[in-house]
Amino acid sequence: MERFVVLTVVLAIVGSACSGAGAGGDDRPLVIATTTILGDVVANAAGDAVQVEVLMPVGADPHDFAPSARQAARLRDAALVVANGIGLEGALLDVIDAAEQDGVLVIRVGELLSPKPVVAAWASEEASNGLDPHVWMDPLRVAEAVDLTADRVHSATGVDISDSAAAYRARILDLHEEITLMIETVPAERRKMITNHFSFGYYADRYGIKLLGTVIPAATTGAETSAADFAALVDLLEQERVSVIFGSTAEPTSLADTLAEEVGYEVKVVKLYTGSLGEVGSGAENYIDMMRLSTRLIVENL
Amino acid sequence: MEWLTDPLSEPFMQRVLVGSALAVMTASLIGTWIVLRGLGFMGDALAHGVTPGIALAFAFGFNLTLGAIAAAGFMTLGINLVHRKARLREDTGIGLLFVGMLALGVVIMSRLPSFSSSLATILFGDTLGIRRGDIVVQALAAAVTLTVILVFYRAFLVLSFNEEKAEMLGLRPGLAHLVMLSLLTLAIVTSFRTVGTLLVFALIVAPPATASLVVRRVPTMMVTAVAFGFLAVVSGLLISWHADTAAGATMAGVSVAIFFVVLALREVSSKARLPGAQH
Repeated sequence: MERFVVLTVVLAIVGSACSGAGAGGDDRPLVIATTTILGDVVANAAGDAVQVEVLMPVGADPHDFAPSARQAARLRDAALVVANGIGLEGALLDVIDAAEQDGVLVIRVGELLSPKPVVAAWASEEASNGLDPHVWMDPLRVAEAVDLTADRVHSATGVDISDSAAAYRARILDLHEEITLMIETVPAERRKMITNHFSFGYYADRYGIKLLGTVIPAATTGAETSAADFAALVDLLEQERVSVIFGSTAEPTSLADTLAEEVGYEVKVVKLYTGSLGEVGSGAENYIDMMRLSTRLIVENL
Repeated sequence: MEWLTDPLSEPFMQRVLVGSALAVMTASLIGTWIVLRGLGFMGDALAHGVTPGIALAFAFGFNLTLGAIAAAGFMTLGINLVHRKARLREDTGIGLLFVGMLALGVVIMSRLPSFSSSLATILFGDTLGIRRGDIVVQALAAAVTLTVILVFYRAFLVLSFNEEKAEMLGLRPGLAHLVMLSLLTLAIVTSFRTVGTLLVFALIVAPPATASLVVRRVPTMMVTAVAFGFLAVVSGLLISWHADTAAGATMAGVSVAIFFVVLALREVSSKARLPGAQH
């Protein structure tokens, strides 16, 4: 019996040592965003009028992130949850669905932005089922997302954020102009990319870049590459004389690294910020800078 | 006590707690027999081997639980077949089916682009995505498990300690074995949504193993196992809350950690009681 007592005491001590601080006394309505990118967009659109929290930490792969118990409970305090949807938050979907069932208002903003199927010029038929969740790679869609979110915040909380949303929307439209101009500096015949997973569909579409292929044959980082896919990619690289593969900082690029070694000439693996914002000092701390940095790296390496 | 009351005062957390507690109860009750009979490897293999069933069920729009049950049944038959036809020891058959099924699961998922995003959910579960309907299923599974164990108690007991004698007593060891595997399957398929196929096995084996360190009699062992299971679920959830860790993995990890803590405490206390004695 005494060992149970000891055990209980040990656990109690461990437990109390981990006990954290409670919630702060913030009266503003709470909006919770799933990804760091959505969090930044919502925070900028809303200004100081609402309190914005983000579930995923900087650098997390949105396909894999699993929430803690506290975060799942916190969802129930939110006036609005802004999620990307389209299956992006793979390990978070059920948690969000359950919160919605409990009466939390959820907007899956990606699903409202005319998502496109995952199609690739190189791919056989099986790679084309399912929609591409990476809608934020197209600034014009994000501009629309700002409006949609602002409407939803207004109806959910009664707080009108249309002024700050309009100002942020204008900045995103500027970003779009800037990216367009930067991409135009690349000769048209060199505007073609190979990426690690299918995350650049919307970007390529918007800015007239041809997507030659992806290392992972899906819109998620969880899929695996078959031997034939891999061999086909090596051929493709050599045939098109592509010397760069674009990966993401939030996902492993070991296959892309191997691919770079398989090809008979030097191939660089350039890591872009796509699924998550970057750490402080990375130059990708917010959505606009992230897109700017990615575009700069793309333009420099094409 | 705020560290305890704060998280557990949330209705949502209470639901997670009840769901996980029911899952661990089902798992620990049948797990006790799995540990007693040394069927750990079989349990582990079944837990992982249901993956292709779930993947296929998803692909063709069937109920995921039915897919898991079908895969478990297929596996059990396959293991039996290898054991009898190839005249190999049972663990070889289990190993073959285990990796074969797991590989098949990953292959299926890699051909389903829209599906692979929930691979993480299948493997690690979604304790925090538990809904009211899930609780009903968990409660039913726990009730069925408890009832069947009570009905088959004598058969299970003889099967575990003296299989030959079971035949003589007319307790039909073959049937008892099948019932036991069915309960194991039930525990796996009803809790894969909570803790995932990769982690559900922790809840099947760790609490009964811990219980076996401190008690001897089978009924006490089952009760103690359920108690250790509850402890793992509660402390796992609290740690997930306070340390911001993934809930399902924390619970599974804690259940194993408790085993080693109890083992260490037992060693320390037996040394203290019998100074210098051989143990």
